[in-house]
This record gives sequence, C-alpha cells and structure tokens, in this order.
Amino acid sequence: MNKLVSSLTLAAVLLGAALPTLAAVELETRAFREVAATNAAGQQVTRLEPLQSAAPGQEVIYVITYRNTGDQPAQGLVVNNQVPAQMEYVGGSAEGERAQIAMSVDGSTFGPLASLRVPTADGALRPAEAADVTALRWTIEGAVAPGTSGTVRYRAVLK
Amino acid sequence: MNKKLCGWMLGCATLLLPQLTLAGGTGAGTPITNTATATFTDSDNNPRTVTSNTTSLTVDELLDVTVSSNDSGNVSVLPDDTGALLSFTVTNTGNGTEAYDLILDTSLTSDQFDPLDVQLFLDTNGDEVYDAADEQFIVGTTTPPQLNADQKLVVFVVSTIPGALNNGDIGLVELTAESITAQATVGADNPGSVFAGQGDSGVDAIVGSSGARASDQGGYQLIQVETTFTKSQSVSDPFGGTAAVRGSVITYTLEFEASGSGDLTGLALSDDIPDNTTYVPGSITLDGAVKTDAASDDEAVFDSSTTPKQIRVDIGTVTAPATHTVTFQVEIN
Repeated sequence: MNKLVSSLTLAAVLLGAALPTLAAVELETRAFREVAATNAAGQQVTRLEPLQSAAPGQEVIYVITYRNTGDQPAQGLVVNNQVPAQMEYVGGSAEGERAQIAMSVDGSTFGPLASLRVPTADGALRPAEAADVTALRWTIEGAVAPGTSGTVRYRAVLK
Repeated sequence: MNKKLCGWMLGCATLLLPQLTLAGGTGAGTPITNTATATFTDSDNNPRTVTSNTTSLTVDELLDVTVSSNDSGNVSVLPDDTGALLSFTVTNTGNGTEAYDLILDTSLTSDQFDPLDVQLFLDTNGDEVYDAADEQFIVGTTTPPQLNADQKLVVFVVSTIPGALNNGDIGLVELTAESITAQATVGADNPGSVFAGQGDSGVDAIVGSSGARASDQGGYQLIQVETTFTKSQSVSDPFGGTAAVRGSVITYTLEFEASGSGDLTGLALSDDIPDNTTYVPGSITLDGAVKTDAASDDEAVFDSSTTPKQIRVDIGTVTAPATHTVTFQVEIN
C-alpha cells in the first residue's frame, strides 16, 4: 500500500495537476513591505509591495499561501514557519483565516505567547516576549477543499 | 515618518516606515531566507509534508554616522598657544563599510574667536593619542577614511590660538563627517533616501536616521589667572596710639588675590623683616589662623638664616578665584 501511494505521489509530482490524484497542497512564501499611498479619492491607504531587500529596522510581512491542487480535501493542515534568525517577530501580528495560531520560543513547545517561558541567565524562567518567538504554527480548522487556497501571515522587523 | 494607518491586519496599527532606529544592525548584503513547511493528512489518512519555495531578502546598507567630542568641556589655552588639541570620535553606526569625508568649520558665530592654522589628523595607529604616527587629513586631498560597521576613528584637531584675547573667550571648532555615498547628492539627505545599488556588494544604500552626516563641536577657552598682591601696615605704640616709636608693633598684612579662572601652582608669599625691627615670634597668620615659626610643620616659616631675615608662607596650588591673607608683626627697635 505504501509503495502504491509513493508511486502515485511521484506521478503527481511529475505530471503536476494534469493527473488528478489525492490531496496535494502547495505552499508559497513571499515577503512584502507595506507602503502608504493615497488613492484616487484622496484617502490614505496601504498596499503590499513585494520585497527583494530590506534595511535594518524595516518591517517585513511574510505571507504564506497554501493551495490544494489535488482533487481530494486536505485534512488537518498545519503550516509551520521559523522566524528568520536576523528578524524579530512583531507581537500580535500573526494572522490566518480559520487558523489557530501557536508560537514557540524553542522550536519544540508551541502555544499562546502568554503560556511560554524563557530561561534567564540565573536559571529562572521569565514570561516570553514577542522578540523571543522563533517559530510560528497555524493549525487550519476543517479541511482544505480541492481547488481552494488560503493565506497566513506575520510581520517581523529586520534586526 | 510614523503614521497611523488602517490596514488589512489589525485594524489601526502604528507603522514605522522605515524604522531606522537601530545602530548597525544585520550586516549589509546578508541574505535573509525563509521557507515554510506544512503537514496535512490526505484522503487515505496518510500524513504528508510539503515545503514551500525559499524567499530571500538581501540586507540593504544603512548609511549612518555619529561624531562626538572626546573633550570634557572646553580645552584651556593661553594666547598664542600652538598645537592646541581637540579630539573627536567618528563612528560608523551603519551596517556596512563606508568612507567618510571630514569637514571643519571654525567660523561659528556663538564664540569669541576663531582658532588659526587648524589642521586635522587621523589617529592612524589607533592609540587615541595624538602623535607623529598620525596622518594629516587634508580636505579634498586625503583619501576619506573608510570604516567598517561599528568601527570608530579618533580625529584630532590641532590649532593655533590668536594673541589678543580676553580671559574666558571661547573659540569653537565643528567637525562634520559625511558618508561618501550620500555625498553624491548635494545638501542634506533625508532618512530613507535610497542610493540604488550604491551599497556594499551592490545592494541599495539607504540613508539612516542620522541623514548619513553628523557633527559635533569642541572648544578652546582662554583661561588666565590674574593676580594682585597688596601690602598694608598698621602700627600700635606702647601707649595705645599709632605712633611709630621704639617698642611700637607694626602689623603687616599681605593680601593675595587670584581672579579670572584656572589654577596657580607653587604659590609662596614672603616678606623681609625691615631693618631696625625685630620679628614678633609666633605672629604669622594665614587666613586668620595662627601658624608656627618652625619649618615643615605648617605652611609658614620664620627664616632667620637669610639676610635680611624673612617670613614665608607656602600656599601651594590656588584655584581662582581665591584670596589669601597673611599677617605678621615686627617690633620697632
């Protein structure tokens, strides 16, 4: 059975969407910056611009898009992302449609930020702060239907 | 540049665009990569893992600099001093390697004199002391010094002080360091201005919160101590009067005043015992306190070995403004 599945998976990879197969989720990670602009009505609006470079102190918005390109629902989708080491997570900025958000300061224990602790130099534990976050996890509620997609996102500042 | 913006995410949030408050920061040219992963269960109940593309950002070069005087207050000078020294530190507070032009201004209006023959020297050997090894920086000729991120350079200003000055006069010198990259445009550069492709390894160079330019002032102050020394006398005769007759006692008062500001060292007041008088033993006072005649036990001494005999009071260091009063008595023979 396992062998059959893996050969089917291989076929899906080789032929892409041409061959209908099981649930197949594709992930895309993109970096943006938010810029202020004035629209035709003279209102202040913000828009996201793709980003290829950033200066220290700049805020970057990471957007992760998931897409079910298969023909079956994907169940229990969990998106994981490590905050790049040179970046500092902006507290409260993680978002996702139909997603339960958890974070981690050590890469193994995930939960709400308020539940996390960080060891201090003297061996005690202190409450975690946004700057301590090293990884984020979005658990998508329900199934991701074939042909549908969604996004999760967060902001981080370049150190 | 802070603006309240209402965005798609959290309703209204304070956005810093760009937030240029960090000194240094991640090095220019560093690639910042990010890859997401996801797990799910397919319809056959098999766990699956997928990995996203890797998005990569390159860190721009932030152009920032600070200049600060190393002198605690104005440096004390005298008229016509040569080699009067000021010290500054230039620090690359950006995140890349950058060269800085150095500019001197001595024509500041908030002072009383302009230092002369002003020269700049770079602390080439890094010992923070002005010495022969330090290279002179000639504006427009010397290659601008290049500093790595967070690197400091001490810069010395060497001047001649004019002659005709008043005590307390101040002469200021302003040192400015400006990023060579930002110098490509005339005038001040606004934080956030971009010099496309002009940073380290061809990344964009972005003007930081300093405007890629910084200045500080150092000052020379003419510190002179002016002194006055007066001597007065009063006579009291044996009969309760003030006649200068045999047996009358003369009280001499020596008043020393240091005005202006600054220190005097090695101050000693002395006076001869006049002919035809005899010193009254134990009569020396300093600022109202009785002193002994013996040497070494206090500031005062009566010296009978000299001709004429004399009293002497060693006061030592005096910080102006200050006044010291010495009295002693003699009896007319």
